[in-house]
Amino acid sequence: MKGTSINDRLIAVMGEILDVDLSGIGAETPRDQIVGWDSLNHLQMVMAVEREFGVRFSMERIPELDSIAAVRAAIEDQL
Amino acid sequence: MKVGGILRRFLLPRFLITAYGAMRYGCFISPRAEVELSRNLTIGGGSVISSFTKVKTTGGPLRIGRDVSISTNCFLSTGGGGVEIGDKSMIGPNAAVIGSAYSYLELTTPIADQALISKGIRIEPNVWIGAGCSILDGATIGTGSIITANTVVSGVVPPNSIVSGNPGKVIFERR
Repeated sequence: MKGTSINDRLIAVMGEILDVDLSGIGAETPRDQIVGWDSLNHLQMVMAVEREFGVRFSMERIPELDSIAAVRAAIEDQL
Repeated sequence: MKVGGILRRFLLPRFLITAYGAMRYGCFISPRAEVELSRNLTIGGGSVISSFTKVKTTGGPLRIGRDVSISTNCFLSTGGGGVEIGDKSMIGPNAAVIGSAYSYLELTTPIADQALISKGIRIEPNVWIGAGCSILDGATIGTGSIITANTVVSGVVPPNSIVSGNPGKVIFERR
């Protein structure tokens, strides 16, 4: 139940930044196959996710956030 | 413009300005750049001003730090508030740094006839300004910041920020 909640919130936050409906996109879909997920939006998305979940990613971790699943895993690591 | 300024601007061969910059400041001013030499100008050693860049210094002080890189086709002008560019900062091609602005308080007076105002611009050390950016009067950019291409900055940017858009907004904090 907790995982579903994180997933819904994550998709809402990321979808807003990327201006894309992510609900139909697989969690493992690579970042470069998602329209709008460019380098600048990636940084904005990281900041938005950090605000939403009260977490903070290291500079080493940020480039590794290359799918919805990877972002979710990084959040769960800190919760 | 005073006679000396006119002579320096139109009659002084550019290669002499390049030689003067190298001897006086230890910097490189491209022979194809147009840099107004005046007492307002200070350039740190190791700095580079690339071709087709125009630097106007008659309006106020321009202090360029050490190892600053100003790329091709930029425009820098100063007002009374001055412009300061910190050490090891980089300015990409086609950027504009404009240290003054017209007042527009009088509706019935043409804007061109109203006063020029200048709060000054401060670019702290280790700042990277991308191609096509406009840095306007009143801007202060904190050290370690990155201004992405075509961004417009006229306010205060905290240190270690990545700024994008028009008006420029902080999209990321470097860590």
